[in-house]
Amino acid sequence: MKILLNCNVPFLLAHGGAQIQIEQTKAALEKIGVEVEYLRWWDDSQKGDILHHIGWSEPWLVKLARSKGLKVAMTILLTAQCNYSSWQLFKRKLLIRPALAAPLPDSLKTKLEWWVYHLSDQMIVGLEAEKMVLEKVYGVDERRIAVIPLGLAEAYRHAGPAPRTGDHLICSGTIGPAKNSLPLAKLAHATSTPFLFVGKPFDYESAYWREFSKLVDGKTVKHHQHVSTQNEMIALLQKARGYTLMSVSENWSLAAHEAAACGLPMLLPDQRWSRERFGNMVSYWPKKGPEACARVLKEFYAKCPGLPPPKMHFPSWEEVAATLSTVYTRLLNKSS
Amino acid sequence: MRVLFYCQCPFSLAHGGLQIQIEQTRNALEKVGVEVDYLRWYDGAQKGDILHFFGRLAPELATLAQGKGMKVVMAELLTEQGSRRPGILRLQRYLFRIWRSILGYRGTDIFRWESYRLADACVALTAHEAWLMTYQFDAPPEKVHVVPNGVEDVFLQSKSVTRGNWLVCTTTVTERKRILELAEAAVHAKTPLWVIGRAYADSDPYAARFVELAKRHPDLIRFDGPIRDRILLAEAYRQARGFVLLSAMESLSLSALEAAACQCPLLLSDLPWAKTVFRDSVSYCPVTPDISRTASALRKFYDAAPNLPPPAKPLTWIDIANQLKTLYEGVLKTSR
Repeated sequence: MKILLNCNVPFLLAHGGAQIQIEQTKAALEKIGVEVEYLRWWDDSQKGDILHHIGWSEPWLVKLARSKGLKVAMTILLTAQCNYSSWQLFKRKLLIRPALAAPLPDSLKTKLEWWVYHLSDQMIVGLEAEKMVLEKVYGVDERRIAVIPLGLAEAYRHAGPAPRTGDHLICSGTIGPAKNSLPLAKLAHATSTPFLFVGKPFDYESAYWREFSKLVDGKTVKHHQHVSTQNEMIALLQKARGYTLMSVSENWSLAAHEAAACGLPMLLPDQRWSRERFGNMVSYWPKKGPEACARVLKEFYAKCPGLPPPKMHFPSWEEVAATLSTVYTRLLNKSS
Repeated sequence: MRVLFYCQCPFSLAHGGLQIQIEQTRNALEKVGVEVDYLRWYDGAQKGDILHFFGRLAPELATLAQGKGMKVVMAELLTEQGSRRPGILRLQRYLFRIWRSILGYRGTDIFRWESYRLADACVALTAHEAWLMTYQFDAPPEKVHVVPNGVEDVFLQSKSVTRGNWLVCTTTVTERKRILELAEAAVHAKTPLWVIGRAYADSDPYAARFVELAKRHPDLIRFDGPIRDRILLAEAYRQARGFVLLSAMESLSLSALEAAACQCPLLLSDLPWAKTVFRDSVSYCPVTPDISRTASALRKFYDAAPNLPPPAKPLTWIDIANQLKTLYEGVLKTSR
């Protein structure tokens, strides 16, 4: 069994969770004896049994792979959609389902971006919330959807309890609009809550970054460039008083899981992903209003020293790889 | 100057003209002193000054690349659009404008139209496609450049031999190329036809129908698969009575250029790409489902071929590389 991993967002253009997920998955699969290669688009002699596409793929590529006898697995991140309200999902369903069910010629259907979920042999998601979207909105047969969590590196899993000696909250991740870094930094100033942001922007020339960096004063808002080693990151996390994330939406959030494993109490957006993963073990931002947010942030900051970190199982990448390997095997057996 | 070539259609899944174009362009650019790397999507440390994308780049990738300080060159083959009738193109243009005025560029992300506006340069293979880029997709005219395909020296320097009785057609056996229709017309017109190529997949039912027809008429249809040796392929063009390509759509057929380099008379579909490139130097056949009409054009060409003048010789890949080098240098000097 040989797996070809592919992704349409090159790592040199966008760092982040997807890169970690792909690299860790590949390493873990190899450790348990599964042959994995990154797809080399220029190499016409490269062979494989399964094309595992991480992220959305053009339907024609999936069709092409299948016509060559490969099975296609697709890990899709429904980051925004899995956090939509039921009403938003219903409206989407009203638009999408008739289009997918319409008796359109194959050439036209291939142009519908959602058609690829039906063309792929196996859909893979990280959350039950994402599985629900695939089933209800896109009508994908639940037997073709596997929910496979993301793993966590051993260093985080064995980080141990955090001393939490710092006076600041910590927020890790790309500095950008998706993470709401700017409103969070403004809120930190408005409430005089010390914050340490760890991460880098996609673009140092962007207006967003320039505005954000104006708020970095080294006292209330501190900034630490993206760290390169896990131990350095663990040290930064464990020194903090608590962890905060204010993203517009997330699906799994490796960063939040790393913080939880490092023993930090957490303040997270009140969304499906966070409720599914952390339930009542963390604090949540209010749904609306800057004043309410300021109040909750102050309360969280004040209570932090007495708050426990979430207690949960953090799967290793090897556990994830083992589950994935089962899915691959089942997929290949289907054909024979 | 380092250029990163990127294409999201893996060569292991689809052979054909695009692969040859990319490989030959890369080799030739290196010969004229331009450093070219294939973009390794999994390599976060890879660096480049220019991202040369073959296809229609997702707008978010264009923005990310530019955010990293790279210039973006986009080379899409407008094969389908380039073969449409003027009335259809006009209609599409209006629909494009209506759609965009309602939803804005962001609302049209699935079509990636915005990339034409974002790219630092757009490369078209023919003047017709260059016109389409501005007419259909609003690419700024000053950013659109026509850089055709080149031809390998093995074809340009091939020696003249006595021409035989077979017409030759070098192509992928797929519906778009209308090989089955061409073969049916050849049987009808009793003009011997040698088809050189292969299907994308052995299981393709269209290709299977063609193979079946070829088996029934071995005296008129010769099909032995592809010729991988370029010297032998050049010999095949040199020995052919004429070259025929009656595709429903083309961008700039490499095989037609190769045949032209071998001084072979050409019969091509009456489509804008062919008219733009070859003008009156070749023969044309309408794209029609009427086999007897196609057969009549084929017979007329077959009879006339020995006395037809050869088309003009195409450019070499080194010529093309020099054109691209000038383009890259210009793009690097331009501020956005």
